[in-house]
Amino acid sequence: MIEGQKQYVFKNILLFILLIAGINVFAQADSTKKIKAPKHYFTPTIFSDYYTTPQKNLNQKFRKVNGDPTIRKHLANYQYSQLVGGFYFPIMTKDYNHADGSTGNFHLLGTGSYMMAMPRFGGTSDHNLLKASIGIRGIYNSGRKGIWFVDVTPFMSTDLSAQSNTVYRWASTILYDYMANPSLSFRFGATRTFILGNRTFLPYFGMRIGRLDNIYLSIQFPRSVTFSFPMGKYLRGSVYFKPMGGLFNMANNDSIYPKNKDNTIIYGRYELINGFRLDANFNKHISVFVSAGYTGVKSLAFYSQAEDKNNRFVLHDFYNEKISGGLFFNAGFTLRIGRAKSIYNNYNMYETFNLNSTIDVGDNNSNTGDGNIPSPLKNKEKSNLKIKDVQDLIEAQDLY
Amino acid sequence: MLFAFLKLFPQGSNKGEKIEALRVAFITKKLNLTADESQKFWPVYNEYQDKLKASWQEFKKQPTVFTNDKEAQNYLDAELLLKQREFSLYKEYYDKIKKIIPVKKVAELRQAEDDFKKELLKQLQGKSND
Repeated sequence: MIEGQKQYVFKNILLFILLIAGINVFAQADSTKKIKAPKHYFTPTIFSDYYTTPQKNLNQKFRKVNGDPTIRKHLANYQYSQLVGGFYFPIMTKDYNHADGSTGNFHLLGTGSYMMAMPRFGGTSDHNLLKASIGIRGIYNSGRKGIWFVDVTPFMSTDLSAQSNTVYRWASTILYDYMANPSLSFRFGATRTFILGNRTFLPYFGMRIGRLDNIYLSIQFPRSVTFSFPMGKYLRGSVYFKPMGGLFNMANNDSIYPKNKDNTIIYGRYELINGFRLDANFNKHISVFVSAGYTGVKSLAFYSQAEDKNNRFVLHDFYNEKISGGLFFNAGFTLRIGRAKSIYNNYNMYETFNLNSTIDVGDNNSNTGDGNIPSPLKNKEKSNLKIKDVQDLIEAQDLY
Repeated sequence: MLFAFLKLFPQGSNKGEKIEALRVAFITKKLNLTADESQKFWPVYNEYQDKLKASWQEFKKQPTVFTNDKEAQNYLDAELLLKQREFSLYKEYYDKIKKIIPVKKVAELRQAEDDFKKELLKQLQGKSND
């Protein structure tokens, strides 16, 4: 190789090395992979609510009673309140970019809840019945028309006030949500639930008419029927009816059930409540609600743990009483911690959030509300902006 | 402990949310997307905005008062990185958006973004004149 050629080759190699180095330097500086954008759509969420009804006399003769009337005399009167708390958090979120341009995602959530049921009878000692769950739920949003939802909630129930057995049960729901458009969706599936005051396996059928960020009517059997409407920027009102209930292990220290000398019986309650709920969504992170109304259909039941031991389906009560209706009061809050991915105008995600709140954590049929669904703003709401609020959006050339 | 608790709920998020919601309302009105376009467009556009916001927030952590040359240099480096990220994101996401909605609407989106800024500036100017 002659001297000139050598120099030419050397120069080109040097240029190539510099070019690669330059690309690398630029690539490192240009990397968008290190941007710490939010990873999840669901953020860790904590919620709690309190529900109470006034005392009712059980010696009303027109009410139907099944079982030993001496039990009714023994119980005398009945008042019920409960405290529910719970949380869920994202374990994994995965986005799928489909070839047609749509974006699907999968959410795996860890869930946990406690419920302190506090039935008070005039003729017995006070019972504080604990129900606690740890569960998991998976939601697959195809990004097109369909959303799959699966929830498994194993829970335990025991009486904290006296010596009793602990029972382990599980609730579960699987359903498919077909969203025809943002204003119309259908849900089909099956649920194993205790909200009707017994162990039931039921089909799930749901239908919603109207947009979730506006006025809508949602019929979700067996969960709720809700007519919901925005009341300004931060408030949302709903008129609803829904069942509330559960099965709880209860110490038999008051000998409610003298047969078999059981130390534990099962207390079941069921109410169909009709009410008005006002949600205040101060921002994405904090929501509170108050609700009041009338519980029209109301019953309590006792089941024998020993006699229902081998029963895998609906339990058979030894005492069941329908109770006269009355008022109820319910209030609670929801805290959503940290930053979530934006979901503006992403109606598939609105539906996903609504699925998650309708089928509540812990199978208590309490509802965390949809405070994380953004409410559409009107043009007049620009009024109180300040320059420091918008400085990120404005570049020098915008001023000329 | 209180400080740690407050950190869980990002400050100023209400203002950010409000501006985002206003921007979304403005773009929705201007673009006139079909139902199918809207379903595909918004998840991608939201992701783009999330990454832009995260880049701005990272840049905002830089001190703006410099006690030495090193701090000043760090600031300039961070600003350069921000500009590079903004460009890379712009390219990446506008390429994606072009596959979802017609190119005419992509151009209208760019115009709508600029118009939104102008609208905000007009609002602010109006306020300062009051």
